[in-house]
Amino acid sequence: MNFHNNPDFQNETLRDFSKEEERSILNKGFVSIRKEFPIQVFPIISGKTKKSSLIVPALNPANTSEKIADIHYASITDAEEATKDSVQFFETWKNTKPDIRIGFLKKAANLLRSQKAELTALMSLEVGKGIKDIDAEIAEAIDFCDFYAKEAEYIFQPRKRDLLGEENIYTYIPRGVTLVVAPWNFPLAILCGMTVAPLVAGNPVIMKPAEQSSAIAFKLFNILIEAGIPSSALHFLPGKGEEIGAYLVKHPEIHTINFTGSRAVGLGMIREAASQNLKFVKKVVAEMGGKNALIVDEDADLDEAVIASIQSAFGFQGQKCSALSRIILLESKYDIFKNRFIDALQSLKPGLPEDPSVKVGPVIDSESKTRLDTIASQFSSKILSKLKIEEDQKHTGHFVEPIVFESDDPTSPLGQTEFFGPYVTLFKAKNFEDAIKIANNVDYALTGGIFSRNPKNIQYAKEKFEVGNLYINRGITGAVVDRQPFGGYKLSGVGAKAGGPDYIKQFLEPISITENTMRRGFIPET
Amino acid sequence: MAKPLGSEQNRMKATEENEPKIITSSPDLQDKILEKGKELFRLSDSFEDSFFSTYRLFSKSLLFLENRPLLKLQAFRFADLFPSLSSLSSISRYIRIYFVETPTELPKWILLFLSLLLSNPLSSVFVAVGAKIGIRLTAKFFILGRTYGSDRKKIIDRYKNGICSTIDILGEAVLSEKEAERYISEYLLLLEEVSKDKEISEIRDSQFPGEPTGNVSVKCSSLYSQLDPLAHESSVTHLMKKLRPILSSAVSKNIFINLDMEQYETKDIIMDTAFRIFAEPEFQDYPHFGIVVQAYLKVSQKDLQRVIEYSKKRKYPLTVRLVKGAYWEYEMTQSAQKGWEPPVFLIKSETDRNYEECSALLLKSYPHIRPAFGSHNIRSLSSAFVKAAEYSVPENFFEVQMLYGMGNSYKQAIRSLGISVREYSPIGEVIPGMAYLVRRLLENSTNEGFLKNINANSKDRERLLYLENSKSK
Repeated sequence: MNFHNNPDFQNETLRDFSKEEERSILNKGFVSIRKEFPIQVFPIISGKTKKSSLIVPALNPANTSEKIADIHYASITDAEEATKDSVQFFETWKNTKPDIRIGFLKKAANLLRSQKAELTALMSLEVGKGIKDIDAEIAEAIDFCDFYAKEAEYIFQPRKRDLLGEENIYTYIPRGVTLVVAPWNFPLAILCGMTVAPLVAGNPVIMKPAEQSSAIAFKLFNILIEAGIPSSALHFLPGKGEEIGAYLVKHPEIHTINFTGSRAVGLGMIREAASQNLKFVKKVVAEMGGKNALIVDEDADLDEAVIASIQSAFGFQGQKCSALSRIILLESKYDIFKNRFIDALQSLKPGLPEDPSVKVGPVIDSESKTRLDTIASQFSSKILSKLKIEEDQKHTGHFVEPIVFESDDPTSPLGQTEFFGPYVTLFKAKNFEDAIKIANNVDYALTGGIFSRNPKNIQYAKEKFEVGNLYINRGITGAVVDRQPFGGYKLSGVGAKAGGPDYIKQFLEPISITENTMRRGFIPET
Repeated sequence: MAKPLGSEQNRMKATEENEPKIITSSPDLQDKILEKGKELFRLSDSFEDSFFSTYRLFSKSLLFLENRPLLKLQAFRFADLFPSLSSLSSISRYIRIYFVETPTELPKWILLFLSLLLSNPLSSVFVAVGAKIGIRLTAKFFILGRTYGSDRKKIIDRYKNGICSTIDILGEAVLSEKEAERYISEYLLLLEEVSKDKEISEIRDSQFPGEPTGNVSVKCSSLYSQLDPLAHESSVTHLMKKLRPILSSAVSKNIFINLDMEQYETKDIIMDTAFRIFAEPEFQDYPHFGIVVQAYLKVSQKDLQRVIEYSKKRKYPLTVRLVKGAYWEYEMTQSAQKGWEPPVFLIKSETDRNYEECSALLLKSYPHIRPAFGSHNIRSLSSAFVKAAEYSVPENFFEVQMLYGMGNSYKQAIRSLGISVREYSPIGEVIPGMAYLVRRLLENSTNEGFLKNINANSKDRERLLYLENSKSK
């Protein structure tokens, strides 16, 4: 493998909210974004705003009486038009100098930087994420732009291996039209990273944002266009996944599908792509899910382990693919951890995420709430502790009570199924090897962590723990671009890690060109 | 408030530029500081071994780690881990992992001896018991005791020797409101016990006429589990609610309350809380409140100005404990990971210099602030004493604070100059408290030069009296 360092790249700094100035800018962001409500979100194809026959309101999940946006859903006709335009523009975009494309990403990073306050407010109100999580997410979106820009500079320098009389070049060409199907849980960062990587590689992109976060997606789309991305290279299609998403996945002119979402949908896309009879192999890059575990060793620092578990399990209501859903404890630490963990959960404040003292917000929609409530009643006998949420709060938004379950059966759904909500289950292990075995015994391999001060066990985990991102003595969420490239294997996903050195290459085809420069009797001077 | 501060800083800057070598003070003042330092050294020599000579033994054994960075790292890691080891067999297992199987600079013969002992179950128990006793003894040396009630004898001994104390409750991080409530009741109990101690009050009445009934240092982070700089307003409100019963009890018992400072992140929350709650009608005319300023913070002079302005409006002055700060490594890693400018000075001598500038600010504000100089650094203290004389601040108006268990001969020396000395005395479970204290000690032993101070010969010792020397860590 060819590793290189990117010495110029620097991660975007987080905002220091201990400064009063930052807090007041943030408050102004809420005031100013609310003036735009309801934001009108349209499909946009080659710069043209499309009319729609279906307009769906986007409501604040924490307070459903507040309307955030009107989402004008795209139709199949729109999807077809976007594909046609993309195909037509492909050659032009492919032949645009990489430096120009790279410049657009750098500009986009700056635009994102300048709009932090409004973006924070919009994310808080459209998907119910907490302020600090949002701050990290915006920084991640900026990092994706800056990092992929730097990576592209490196990738597009042809690799030369010339000999006397023979020139060898290894270089990359873009694959073709890329469909981006993004999730709502990182509405800005994931969509941004998934879009700018294929774009900077020279592929036209059709953005299909999640239904639940189309307003943020629209802001991002506009930022990318403002940054200079040609309107024929980037199209925006809000709409139903089952409808336009499915249509585009099947479309013979789509070369790459860049997907983040559920395992069922991802595997369906891979099957669909494989079954098509085309003149190329349709590629699916998919990041799908996890059933992530944290192991607490008998010598763990419990102060740290409890705090990290709380943040990893309940941050953004557990609606992260990296979220903690299984805590595997060595017996000697079980009771003391359990009690401190439950007490810590009981100290969290539920409410509106825009209130900075709130630690537990709503889940994304009523469908999610119903699904989670069903799981809670199905496993009611295993509930160890539940954070009470007042009835009137529940009526204003999609609030679900965070739960700690306890189970002695790691093969039950509590130990196997991804819930995508604020649910975590405690399991007991006899020893550290046993704990690793339990942790690995799932379909997924996304994130995982251990708390231990035993160098032998730390080494053992480094070798045996089957996860794409392993965290030692810290929380298991919050991967940072370039520092912790993010992604899993097994049924957690297929493809390179986001924010890592291989990511852009997924949207390129490497080619090798060899030229014999020897002509009878003479070779050119070098 | 911003204007005079700005000009103050400019003035200091100008001095720096004019006199690059001797920075904070005139040559004359510099000489006086050296003289005062030498005097303190001389005086402390006369108290040597008169008072807890075991400390010398302990600090000598710590010096064993001085030029052995790997061993030092393992030793401190082991001490950090120790509280969570529940059995003798796990203690000996970890001694093997940490010291035998991990390469350190341990001399070969010790290593051989240690692995020999650990290879046999019977003798390995012996090693574990030995380690346990050793750690327990060390911890006892730095921790007053489990509770005030159980170990008040030690405090009384100190008072008899002319040394007051401020009591602090050690413990784990507060992760929940339940744990916070437990700490609050521990503080309330401590206030109760202190106020009921008749023996102490008799000694105090005869020896320390100005002293309140007791002195307690409160860690705000242990009173509220959801302290969060983002939620500044609600953090302040909650903290005030938690502090009110503690302050009320202290007021009714005439006990001094100091609000300790911890991470930079929560500094403004604690300062705002202090300013607001001390101004409440019940507390506005109470003479015994204090807060802390950390000189390693770049904003410390600005903060100090704020405290001075605030204290001027009070009927009785606040006490400011001026320390250098114990979270240097933490602040450095936090700011590096978040991509922030570190809030602390990067070079030790800049902290030392700032400490002296803060001392001067404090003394100049006489009589609006009572300074409490928290340091073991003789140069820093000498500088404060010399400046106090220069600004005609009476010696009974300020005090020196040092940690319980450390620098005892210096405490006696300072006492003999007529300056009050107060010990920061932690109480709590000995073993969990150990990890906490070792972390503090680690920070102190690296950047205070304090241990060297105690053990160095007189020539080396005098070199420690120059600001520039503290550059080398």
